[in-house]
Amino acid sequence: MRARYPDGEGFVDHGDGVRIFYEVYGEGPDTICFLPTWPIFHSRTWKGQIPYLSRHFRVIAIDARGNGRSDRPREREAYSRERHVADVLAVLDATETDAAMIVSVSPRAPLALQLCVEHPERVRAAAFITPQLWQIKEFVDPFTAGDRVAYDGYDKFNPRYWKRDYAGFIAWFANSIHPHPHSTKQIEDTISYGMDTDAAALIPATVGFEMYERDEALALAGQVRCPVLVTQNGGGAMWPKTCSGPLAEASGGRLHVFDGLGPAVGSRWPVAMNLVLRDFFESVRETTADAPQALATGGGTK
Amino acid sequence: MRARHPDRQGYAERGGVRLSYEVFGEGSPTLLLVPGWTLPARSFKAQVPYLARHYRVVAFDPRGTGGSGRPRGATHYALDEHVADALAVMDVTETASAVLVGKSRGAQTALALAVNHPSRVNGLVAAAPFTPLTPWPPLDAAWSSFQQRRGWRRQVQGLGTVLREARHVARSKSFRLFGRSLAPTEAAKWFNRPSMEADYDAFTEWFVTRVVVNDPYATKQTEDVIGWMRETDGEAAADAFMGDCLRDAEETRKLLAAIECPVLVIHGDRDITVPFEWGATFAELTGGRLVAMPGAGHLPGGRYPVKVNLVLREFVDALVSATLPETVEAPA
Repeated sequence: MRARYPDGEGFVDHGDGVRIFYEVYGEGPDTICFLPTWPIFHSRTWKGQIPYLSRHFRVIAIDARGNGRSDRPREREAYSRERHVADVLAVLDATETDAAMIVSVSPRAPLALQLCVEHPERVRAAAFITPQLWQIKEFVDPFTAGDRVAYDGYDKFNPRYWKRDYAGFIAWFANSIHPHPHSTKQIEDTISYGMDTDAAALIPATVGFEMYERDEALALAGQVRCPVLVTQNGGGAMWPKTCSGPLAEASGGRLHVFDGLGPAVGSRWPVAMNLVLRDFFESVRETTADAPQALATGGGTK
Repeated sequence: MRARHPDRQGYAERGGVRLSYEVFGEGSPTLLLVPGWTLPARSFKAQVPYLARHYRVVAFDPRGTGGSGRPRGATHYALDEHVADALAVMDVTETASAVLVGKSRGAQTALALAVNHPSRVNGLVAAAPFTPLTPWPPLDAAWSSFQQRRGWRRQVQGLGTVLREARHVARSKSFRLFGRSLAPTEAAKWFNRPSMEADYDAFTEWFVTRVVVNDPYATKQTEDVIGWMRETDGEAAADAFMGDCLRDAEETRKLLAAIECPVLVIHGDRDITVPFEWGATFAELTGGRLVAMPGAGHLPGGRYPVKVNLVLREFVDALVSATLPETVEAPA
């Protein structure tokens, strides 16, 4: 049972033999596209957002390669950022979406950034939820630590552990991003998304997707021309907060901090997340109405 | 922190017992919310903010709960006392008539009030009504252990009642549910005065986690109900349970037959505190509407507030449009 069922769905394959699944909700000239996530999740992770936002906008949700109803290639090359960009463009084409307002989360922020910079005509606005643009020590260290006798806490962020006890990793992860009481449903949901795939897909998806270097990311952020929203959770240690401020500043975007909420604001506090997203996208809708004229007279760079 | 704070609060007083009440909103008609056993007005917290946007809502803490007095002795918790309390709250809040929303044990109060003071009642909503209509072994066991002195012999007799009646109702869905989640021996061990008075915290935890809230993903609702129950104590809880309330089906049927106002019954089909059959029969005998909540336990208003609120609103709006002509004539 779902609160809202899609009005359309389909698959795209842009030539590398990997089928990518997407859903479309609602209709109208303004489209929000939830980008592929790190495939420990799939598009159902947006279930707290879609029923609300699709009452006001057309909404597209994409299952990342590696989970959901998309294929699960096992080679790291299949998970390059370039392939993800092609996936998104193929879905926008298939759904006849000239340009979308995109939403990325955590380690798929680089995908959104590349889309903004290299395909500005396809992106009207970008919301970065708890963005992670460059590698950070907290994840790199355990990930590259090699085999251990025992894996405690963050040690579990290690592909050797995923191979040995994938379910154990998923359970730890689901609990880590939902440390607040009364999150039993969110924890169960997160476990079910994670268990829809396996270590043989999650490992290449994690190592195959290129993150940026810090300087490179911020230089690119400075080239972004569309409106930007960056949201940062105010609670929980799981996801680092180091990228949010610099990204918002470099892109001239708006930074919204969810005081005391998080890490997983969208699932545990959907109303808080939905109101912030809607507010941002409504402001884009209003500006864009005047945009053709402004472009005609102003032209050039900002 | 509350989603909606009362616009007015105060106390009614009857025979030295004060009754804490709150008023929200100023729409029409007025809804009077009557909580269940050991629960205060806050137990309607998922209903009040929504309903108060459309109607005037009056909620009170029944004697023995929340901010109301805790008279000692079961006689103070008789059904007549509860009805008189509800009327006192209506009087002090200048509520000529109201739609009554009674939950669990509160449905008894609402029912008796509607029968005895029909001019004060526009409609009756019974949520998981604790109104005995068919044999319910777990409860019969609890009552027999209450009526008798403490001691193992009586406990065993109580257990005997469970087993004897269990045979007659073993085929009912509610009882199968109950049997699957709770051994009758466990129920008999906990649900009695000595257990409530000896360690009320342990009793409330057992009662809420094992009996009242059996819905998945209801950790907050569980904590809330335990917290509200713990605002009172074991003695008041036992007195209130023993109070001279509706005990047998005949008496209940007589009251139901006398109901003239529109009736809505909301009942979870996985309720093991009050059997679903009671709610279904309540609706049948009053010609009321039955809304079964699939998969829900005893307190659907807490776990599925949106559904319950929409059903409540639909019922009240239908009442309002049905009585519209009268309202138009009223000024004359």
